Amino acid sequence: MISIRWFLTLTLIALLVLVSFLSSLRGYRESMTEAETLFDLQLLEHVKLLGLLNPASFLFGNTLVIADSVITTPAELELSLQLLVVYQIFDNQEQLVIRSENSPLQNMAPFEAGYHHAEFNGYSWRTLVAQDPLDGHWIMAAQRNDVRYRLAETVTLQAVLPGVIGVPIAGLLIWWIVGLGLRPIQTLAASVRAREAGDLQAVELDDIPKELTPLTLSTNDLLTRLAMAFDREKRFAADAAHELRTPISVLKVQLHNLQHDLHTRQLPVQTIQATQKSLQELGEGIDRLAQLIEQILVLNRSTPDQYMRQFIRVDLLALVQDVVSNEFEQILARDQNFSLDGLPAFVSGDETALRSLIQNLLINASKYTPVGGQIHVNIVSEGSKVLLQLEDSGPGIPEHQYEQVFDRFYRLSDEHHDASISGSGLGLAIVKHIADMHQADIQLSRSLKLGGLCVSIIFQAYQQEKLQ
Amino acid sequence: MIDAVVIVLREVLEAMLVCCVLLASSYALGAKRIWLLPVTLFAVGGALLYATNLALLTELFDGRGQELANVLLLILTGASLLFYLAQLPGVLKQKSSKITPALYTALIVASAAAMIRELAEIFIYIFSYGIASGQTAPVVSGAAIGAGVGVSLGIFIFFGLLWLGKRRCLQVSAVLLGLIGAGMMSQATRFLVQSGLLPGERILWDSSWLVSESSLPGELLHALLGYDATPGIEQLMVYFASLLFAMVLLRKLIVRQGKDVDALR
Repeated sequence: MISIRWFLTLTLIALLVLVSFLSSLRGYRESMTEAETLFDLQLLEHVKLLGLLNPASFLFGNTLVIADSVITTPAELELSLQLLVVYQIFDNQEQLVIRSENSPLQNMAPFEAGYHHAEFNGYSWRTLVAQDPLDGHWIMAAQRNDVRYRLAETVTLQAVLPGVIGVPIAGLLIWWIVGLGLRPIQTLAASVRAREAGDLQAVELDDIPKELTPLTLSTNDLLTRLAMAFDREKRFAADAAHELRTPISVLKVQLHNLQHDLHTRQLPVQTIQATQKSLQELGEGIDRLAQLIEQILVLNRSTPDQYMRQFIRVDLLALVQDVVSNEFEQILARDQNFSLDGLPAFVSGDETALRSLIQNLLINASKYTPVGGQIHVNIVSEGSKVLLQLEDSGPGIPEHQYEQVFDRFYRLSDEHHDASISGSGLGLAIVKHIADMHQADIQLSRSLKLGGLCVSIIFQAYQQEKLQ
Repeated sequence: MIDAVVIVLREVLEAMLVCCVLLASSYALGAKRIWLLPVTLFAVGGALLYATNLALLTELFDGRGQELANVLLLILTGASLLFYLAQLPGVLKQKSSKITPALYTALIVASAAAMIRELAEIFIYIFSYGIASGQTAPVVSGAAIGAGVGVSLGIFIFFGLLWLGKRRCLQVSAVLLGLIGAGMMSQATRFLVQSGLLPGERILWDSSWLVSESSLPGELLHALLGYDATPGIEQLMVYFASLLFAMVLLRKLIVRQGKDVDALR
């Protein structure tokens, strides 16, 4: 779609040009006709003056040639040449008696009273022929057509030119004024754009032109509905997860009671063993359910739109050490070798969210790395960036699936990944959300050192002034 | 001044008609405006080259150089317009409506070739009749008025076509481009006959009493339909052959649009 500014500017200029130029053309033609009339009148005055001369007093048979003698300056000569009027006077026998210097020897026009066009001396002329009613002598006067035309055009152009020159100036002004008129739209758009992601307050209606009020009102209406929907969703997810925790805790207690009861009853050994196995599987199922609910809660909390950003200075190294000490039991259980490299590196972020990020990465790595495998974490601080890198000796992820693994509930299923490994498919989605929230760049690749997956997250380093 | 207005208006109107209809059509296809840049460069550069080397050009091919250059530019414009029309159904076929490089090339060649000839004629007129003969003010202001009116009419044609909506805009501009293209091909034939490269002297009719070529309606018809008051039989044959070709392409376009109504949405 073409921009409103371009549309208005172009069509307004085109309209202005058409109206002003076409009226200029009309004015030009009218002025030229008027100028013709004026020159004809001048010719008539000339003939009238010549009529005052009495040809009877001249010597017949000898034509008198009159040269202009009153011209004194070159400027006057120039003007005279431009307005050049040539004339001839004939007696009633159509014999030439007087002629001006530039006129031909033959009659310039037919002996017929009125205006005519004639060709002589290599030019086209406008002629006026008049006959004296008393003695019947003829007076002829002529002006060059090209001179008349050029003079008329010079005068007329003075009226047309300002219009032609004015149009580009008017065009620039139109461009500027249309821009000025459209500024409230930009201001409105900027004020909506400049808001925080979670700010769903209504747009102020002050200083908004009448034409934009309906748009602003419907935007505000939409924002209100959006805020309500967000609120509902947030409450639902939080409430649902919270409400689910209680029955799960009850289930766990009851499972424990059931296991206890099993030992107090007098039952055959085989039955006890079979029941215990079922109970163990039930317990694992309940644990998975509990983990899933916890992750849904984390994901809900870490959705950028709904997250209240309260970033503080966090040391990534200390955080990794803390998370590892909590999860070390699992790593040890799988007989995996864990190593950590790096110096204290500070980023600005939310400690709980970052802890969840590291925890998810570590659990994932431990889960998919085979028993006896290796996990390596590296933290590098360089300039304004902090790199957190986690590598493992697991099967890795095929390159074409790098994008999809961040989708919610996406699980890898191929010959390298054991489908029996419990997981919700939310771990990397949570990691991605938290990374996005911290404006960190997350990249997946193949670990050159260990051969498995290498997750690299590049954070912005903590800056004192940024937080202030 | 009036002469300058009429001459420049005629040239500008012819060029603007081709460019504005192509621009509207490309807009309806969702093309980027980037092709206007090479068009401007080629048109101005080509016209300057043409105008400054006119004497040399005229002498080529036994004094028929200028006619042949005009024929070349006319055929280039007409053929690229028809090529553009031929590409349209294919472009619509792709759901994404991606503009192919061939289509961009047709747009650039047609507009640039149409503009080179007209701009060169304007340059030559302004320099030889205006500046060189001391008539700068009336000729330049007349040219400015003619160009202004021509460009303004072009702007209205462009927005008028866009106002029709994408689907209808594409159809109407295809009809116009077909007519203009056929007109260009017929003009090229006339030049070829005039320069003696094609046989044929017979003039079919003389309709200058009805619509004179130098009148405003005559100029408009000339720009839009390639109107000629005294056409020859070859000219007419080429005109109707090109028109028939354009109409076949147009039908394909409409069938394609009918098949895939959502292609442009």
